[in-house]
Amino acid sequence: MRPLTEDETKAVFVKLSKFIGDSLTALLNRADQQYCLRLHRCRVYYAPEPTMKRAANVQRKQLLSFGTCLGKFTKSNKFHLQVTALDFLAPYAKHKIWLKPSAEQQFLYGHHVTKAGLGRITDATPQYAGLVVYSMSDTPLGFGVAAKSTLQSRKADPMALVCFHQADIGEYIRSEATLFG
Amino acid sequence: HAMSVLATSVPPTFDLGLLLINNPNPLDPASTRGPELEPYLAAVARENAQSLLSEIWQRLPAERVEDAVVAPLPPPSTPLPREKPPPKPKPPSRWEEFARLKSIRRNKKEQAVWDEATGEWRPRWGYGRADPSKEWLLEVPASADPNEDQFGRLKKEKKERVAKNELQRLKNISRNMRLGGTLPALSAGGGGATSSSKELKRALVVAKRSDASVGQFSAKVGGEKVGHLQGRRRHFLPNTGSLTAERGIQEQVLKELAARRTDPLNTERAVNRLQQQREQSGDAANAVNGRRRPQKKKTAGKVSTEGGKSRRQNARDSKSRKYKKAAASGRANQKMKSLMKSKTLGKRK
Repeated sequence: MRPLTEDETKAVFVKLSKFIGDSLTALLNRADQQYCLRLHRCRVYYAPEPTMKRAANVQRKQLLSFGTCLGKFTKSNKFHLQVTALDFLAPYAKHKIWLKPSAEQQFLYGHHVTKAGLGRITDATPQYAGLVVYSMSDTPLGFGVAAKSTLQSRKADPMALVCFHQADIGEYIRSEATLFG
Repeated sequence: HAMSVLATSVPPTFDLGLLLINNPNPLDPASTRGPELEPYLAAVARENAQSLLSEIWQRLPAERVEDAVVAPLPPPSTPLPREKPPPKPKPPSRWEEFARLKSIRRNKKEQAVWDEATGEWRPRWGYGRADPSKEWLLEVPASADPNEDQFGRLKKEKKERVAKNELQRLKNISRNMRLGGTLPALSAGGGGATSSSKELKRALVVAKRSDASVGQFSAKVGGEKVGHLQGRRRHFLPNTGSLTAERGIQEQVLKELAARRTDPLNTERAVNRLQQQREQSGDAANAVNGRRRPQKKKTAGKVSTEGGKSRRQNARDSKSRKYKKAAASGRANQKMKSLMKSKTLGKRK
């Protein structure tokens, strides 16, 4: 377990700011407790400081997880966000998309979102912006990348992709083995 | 035919240090014409190369190095011209001038000095020297203020001496540059006026690791990027303890990201909002035949009640909703007008 270097911090922040923008500071400067980011076995964990200190007492090989896992660094040092970060992305999301009930299941199985399944989308979403996906009852289902901007998606035909899938809460069941390393 | 010519011609001279054979004999004019040219030239070159190699193995003593037979070459005897003009002599510094005038010569000092306090020979400089700044006891001289810190005074004086020396060194360099010289080379091997940027970078890397800890604590200079796996060990911030260094890095990265943002005003959103308001006000105008409803004052701190509402409350709510909608459209109308008047957003139609 160690703090992130400058390059690693930049990679994580760039990824997070694609979804939450300036609210990144709200994650870092919290009023209740001091939270910190730590790297453990290529995964980035976001935890309060007392929790992190306790986790530091566990042997490196035997420590599975602590706090919230935001994502992992791949072998070529690229940062991928995981669905476990959804709790922190959903409240601060800049751009959101709501799915019709018919498209929810498709998304939760890992497929992309078509125009037919699009319920609502935030205004002025640029293309390739980070999107947090909700159901019509405002439950966060996952996140992805906008395949089309808002204006483009209005004119798109029903089978065109509107949102590329990146992570969904169905992964808790599908990728149980790989989510926590 | 060329072999017979060789016997009655000028013998070639050799410069074995440069692997040079100098054959002044002219080429046979008859053979340089026509189709015989190429084979003739090849033959001449082959013979000259052969005589050079035979000269090497005849003249020089052969040695055996592991599995190879080697002949070490003598130093070259042909003087080659300089590629660049010779360097100009450096103008003497102020001290050098003064020493020349007063004929002060350097006295070579011995490295070991007898130290009375410990009763042993100590080096004059470097590790194990008798450093006055490491004295455990300092006498307060009669002329000094009794409350003055003598240790602090020594430290300060040393700092001043070092700073003065540094200033004079820089003055010398600037005088040198003014009189047409170049920057002095770095002690780490690079530097000088003719160094490429690669050499300078290399010199920086070498300088940073030239200390007792092999550069473990050398700070990053400017916007320098340390290469992957450079340096003896990767250095991470401490895991627990003060989080200020970590915070500092995070603040810096956030600043960089903020600087990268291209559209701080989000003009696209503003334009969309304006369009929406125009559409809304257009609907309201259709609904109330162009009459603007009086604006209802919005009461602050209105709390919406959840759960079951009474029928009377529902009726009240629906009425207030109707008035709110009309008021909102009226407000939207005014806002749209003000937006149209403003010069930054929207086009005048």
